[in-house]
Amino acid sequence: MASITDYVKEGLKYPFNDIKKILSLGVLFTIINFLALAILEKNINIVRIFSSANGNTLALKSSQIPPIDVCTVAGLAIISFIILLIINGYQYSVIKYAVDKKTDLPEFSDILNLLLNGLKYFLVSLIYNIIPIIVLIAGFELQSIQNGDYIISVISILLFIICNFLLIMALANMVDSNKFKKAFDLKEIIGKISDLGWMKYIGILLFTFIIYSIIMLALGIVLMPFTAFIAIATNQAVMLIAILSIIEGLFINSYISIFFNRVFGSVYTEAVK
Amino acid sequence: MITTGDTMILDIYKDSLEYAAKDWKSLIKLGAFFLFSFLIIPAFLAVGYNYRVINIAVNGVLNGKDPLPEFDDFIGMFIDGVKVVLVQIAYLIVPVIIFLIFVAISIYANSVLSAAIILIGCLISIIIGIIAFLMEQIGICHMIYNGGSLSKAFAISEIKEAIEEIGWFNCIITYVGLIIITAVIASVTSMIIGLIFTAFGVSGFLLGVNTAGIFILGFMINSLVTLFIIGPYLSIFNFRSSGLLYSMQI
Repeated sequence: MASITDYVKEGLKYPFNDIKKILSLGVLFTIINFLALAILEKNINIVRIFSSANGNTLALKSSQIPPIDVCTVAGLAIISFIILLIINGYQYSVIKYAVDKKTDLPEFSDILNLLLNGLKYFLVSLIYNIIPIIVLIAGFELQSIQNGDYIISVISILLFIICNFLLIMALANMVDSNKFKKAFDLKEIIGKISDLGWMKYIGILLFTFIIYSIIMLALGIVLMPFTAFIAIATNQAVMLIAILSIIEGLFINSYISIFFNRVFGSVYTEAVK
Repeated sequence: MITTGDTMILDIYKDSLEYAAKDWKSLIKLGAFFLFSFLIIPAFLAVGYNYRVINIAVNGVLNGKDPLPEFDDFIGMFIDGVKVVLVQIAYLIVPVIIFLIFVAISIYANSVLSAAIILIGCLISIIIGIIAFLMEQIGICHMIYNGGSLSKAFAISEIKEAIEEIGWFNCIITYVGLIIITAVIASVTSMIIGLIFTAFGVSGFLLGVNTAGIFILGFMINSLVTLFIIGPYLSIFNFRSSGLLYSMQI
């Protein structure tokens, strides 16, 4: 291809090859959004009971929370985690298809395989993000001791950016070789980025991010009057959030996640070419 | 005596004026993008359409037989539009930053000195702005000519070479001419429509009719014509001229 941005173009077009698959993934995203809403609602309930409970020790206060609420939250969290794994597994297959240069979208048929791949995808993302998260938390802790010291927060943001830059290549590297270990072979990953060229790599990710921001901004402007209409029509915050999360999950989240992973896979293909 | 450079520029204008008037349907479609540009994505689509106009111009010849680009593959059009806008922002930010640096320096100087510094800063940033504008226009053409590779838009030495081959003076003259032609066409058309409706309104007033409606109608028709016909026409004209100017290098 003449230009590296053509991969972004291709990635934007790619989800339209099979609208049904986007919607199937969208259903999963919608369920996750609803579960998150339910967990939030239960959590508010728990916090309310917790704060109004008698007693001054933590154990005494927690003992007054109705166990059924805690069980519901835990159950919902587990279900949404499993669905998240399926989504991650699907993203794994999207990268796989991009690396194999297939133009159709992956199937949903093999749920067990999706779960397994999803676990790999999730673990790699988690491990790459764990260092910045620790630094961030440490920064918050330090700030509470001596205020006004924001340097650690800035460092953690930088770490987030660097780690996620590497993570994109690491995921594709793992998917291509189908070995979990390959995701942490930093030497190979950095070598592949160097093959592509750091400027090119950063440029294409930045470009993808700019395109994403523009799309999100435009969607926000389109959805604004719509949101206002629902708000006036239903007059209920929960209803509003529910309708918006259906729209968001069904069309936007699924499309964007397929788009991103397709581009990530394509970048890898360009690097190893 | 007319030099070759002058005829070249006139030929560019003539070709572009004819080219932009080739298909009124395309003008209306481009006008629809302009109308909905507050939704952001259509604005980028309009720029993407102009990307294609340049693409045809830089690969075409000065004969007026090139077709207008198609309205298809909207995602590609969108991406191309974003690329052009990015290049424009990147180039035009340079004079702004230079001007801001001068402003920042002048804050620390006393009043007379700071006025002088601001004045010098204005002059320098205007000169740099003109250079950046030229580099940006030719850079966009250079990028499109090389298959849309963003790095080519910032290949300063190649762009400088291209401008030198066309001639700095020719480039500046062409763009000055473009600005004048654009302003003249825009103001003359709106003036003609305004005059027609004023004539209607005045004659209606002399006949003793309430003429407020005619003025409002005139205003609306004026904006519609500007939005759907003159605006798209001028934008295609400008970008076509830019592309042809790029293809003038030997």
